[in-house]
Amino acid sequence: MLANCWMGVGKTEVREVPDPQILNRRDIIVKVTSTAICGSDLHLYNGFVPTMLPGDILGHEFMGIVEETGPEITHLKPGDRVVVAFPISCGRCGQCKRGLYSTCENSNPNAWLAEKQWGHSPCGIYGYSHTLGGFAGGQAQYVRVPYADVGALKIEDDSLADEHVLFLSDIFPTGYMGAEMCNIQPGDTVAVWGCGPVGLFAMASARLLGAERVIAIDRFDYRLRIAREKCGAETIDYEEVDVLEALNELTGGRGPDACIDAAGTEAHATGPLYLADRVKQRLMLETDRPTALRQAIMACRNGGTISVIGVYAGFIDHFPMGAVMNRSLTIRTGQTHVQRYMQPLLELIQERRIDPSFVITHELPLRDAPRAYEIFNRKEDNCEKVVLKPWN
Amino acid sequence: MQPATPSRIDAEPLEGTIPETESDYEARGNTMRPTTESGRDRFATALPGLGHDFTTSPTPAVAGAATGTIAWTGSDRGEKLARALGAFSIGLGLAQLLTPRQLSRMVGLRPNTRNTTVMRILGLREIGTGIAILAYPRPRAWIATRIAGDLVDLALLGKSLVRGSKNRVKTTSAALLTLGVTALDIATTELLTEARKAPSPELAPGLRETKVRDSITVEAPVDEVYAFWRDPTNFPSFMRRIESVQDLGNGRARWQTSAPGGKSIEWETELLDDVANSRLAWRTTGHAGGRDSGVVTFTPAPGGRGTVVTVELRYAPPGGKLGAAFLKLIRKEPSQELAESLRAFKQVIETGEVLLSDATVVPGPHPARPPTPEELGQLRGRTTYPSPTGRRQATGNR
Repeated sequence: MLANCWMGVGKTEVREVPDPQILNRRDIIVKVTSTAICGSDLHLYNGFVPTMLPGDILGHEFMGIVEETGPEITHLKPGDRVVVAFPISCGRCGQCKRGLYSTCENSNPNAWLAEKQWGHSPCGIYGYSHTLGGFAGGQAQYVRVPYADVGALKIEDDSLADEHVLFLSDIFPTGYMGAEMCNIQPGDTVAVWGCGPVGLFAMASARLLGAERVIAIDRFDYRLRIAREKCGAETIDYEEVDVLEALNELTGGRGPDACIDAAGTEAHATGPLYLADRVKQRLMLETDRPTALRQAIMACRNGGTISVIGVYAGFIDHFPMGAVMNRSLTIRTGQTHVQRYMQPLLELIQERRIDPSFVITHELPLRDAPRAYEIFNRKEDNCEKVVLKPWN
Repeated sequence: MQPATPSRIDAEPLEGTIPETESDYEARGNTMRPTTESGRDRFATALPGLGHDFTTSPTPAVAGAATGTIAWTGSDRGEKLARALGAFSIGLGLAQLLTPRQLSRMVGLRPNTRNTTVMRILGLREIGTGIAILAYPRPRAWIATRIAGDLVDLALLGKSLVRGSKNRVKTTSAALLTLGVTALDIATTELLTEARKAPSPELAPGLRETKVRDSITVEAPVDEVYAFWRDPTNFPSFMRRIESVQDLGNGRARWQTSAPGGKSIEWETELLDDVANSRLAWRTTGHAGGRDSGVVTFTPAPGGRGTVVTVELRYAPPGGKLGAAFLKLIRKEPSQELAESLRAFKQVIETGEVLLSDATVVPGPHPARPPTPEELGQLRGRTTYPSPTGRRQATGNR
């Protein structure tokens, strides 16, 4: 089969690789009909996530048709249409039973690697480094899905196109969890750093959860425009104005009630601290570049919540802990517990309360994946979200 | 019971251990006694004045007991020596770096540019090693680095003796001095190593025991977990390297694993202790008699959150210290092997099987892409479920 493989920093290649096979009893093999490039794939692409090997198949957002099922899979049969959650979760360990699927205790065969980096191991993730299991990703014609009884959601409503439901695999639940962690009260103002697809879903979800105002922060006009037009956000271009001043002005000097960091480790910014971060990152003195996170903390109202859904890999400097402590801030974060949100969010889509396809700007065949990564990484051609079609 | 060669008696057992009483020991009909000459004692004799403050606890451990009752607390001497060597490194390094001409003359070499440059480089190395020894809490590895440095120095001095020395007496004295320092370095490494690993009383002289301990929490009631561990034929399901286990009855079992080179290794174990829903202990019998032992304890996790399983293994690695170092080199370190076995055990109890990923199907680095049929063959079909259909032909891609 064909698959998009990581071949080094800034390089992917569509290659012929062996087809996947059932390896465990709760596996299924999915013939991928649609897959997407995630903003967090860019962290791999740009080399900010360690333990990648040339030849690793990328991709953790995908859906398709069940091709084959393992002997313990009873709720699915070949021919069923499924969306797959990006965290691989057993559904039976203590963490899964608590609904914390992305911290499953059984799904990372390389848990020892993750323990060295992070103390304990989270779940395995498709196509997301060997630290997170070394699972082949879904930017391919076929993919093996372990624990499919927990991770694969059957889509029975044929009136829904792939584009409507594909993002249940990651970015819609991720944006939604980002908003949910803010514990939004009626009348709240929520600020979101980053107008990428996850940021947009966080804004849309904040609205669904009752936020009165949403403020979007980015530097790309086209992205800020989508935030204004599709999510009803007020927008701040951080290259034009001072973000803290602008937020204070917009919120009567108090700051937003909740701040969502949907930018993560590759946040851009202006000023000397940002330059220092870039230098340190190059010299391997700091693994992550937390400019959005720092701003979010400084901006937030006293007693407010910082919700971090952007991906971080390691260590950050100049973390304003004094602001967090003295101003009673709450930080909530995590890889998304997608399995928890898929069914309820599917219902929102079926009720036509949200159409997730609004983020898509590009649809390309899988064989164009290397070009798609370039466009998406450089924010060329007003690129917001790329969907890849493995069989076109 | 007193150790046969009492040095100073230390009344404090290792933290978190419960010493067994002598009657427990006798009650099992266990007649093994601590050897009088453990590796440490011999070492202490060889280096008088260095080993005298090692202490043993009053109750020797029975093989297989989770008590770990031999307590060595004699690492102080090793650490003091290490610090002294660290300071020496820095001092010598500074001298080499700042006064390379004088030092060259001292070892009987011409203070020409080449010799002083080498001297300066060696000085930098000495300073780096010295700082590392003083800065790290466990300096053993850095002392070992010093030994490597000593060997380099000796080689250089040897080479000058053959060619380049203008004063052979000076060069020879320098080489002898270096040899002395090398001996001190080796002694210090030994001391620090010994402090980490307590020898087991039942081991043959010179054999050192490795002890590993780890625990894991599983979502299952204590009786189920105990029953699983009580049946040795369950072990191959989660211990990757165990090929088969045969239950011989009466708590005895025969184990089989394959060694590199396709040879098969077999051994037998006997159950030493069996407290329902609480504790199991084994040890190996036969020619490997009493060398390896293991204890598993089962405790309900607080709040009804499953069962905590704690495993402690003690064994003499095949090939002694060298063997242990080799195992470590090929990443099969006992503590990691145990941790991975426990994780696999948790998967088996909670989900029924061990999860495979594309990269972990075969040993060694492998990209995260589906394995080839040949690679799959290496799995020996134990943990896999064979693919039932010929989908590959249908796609026509291969």
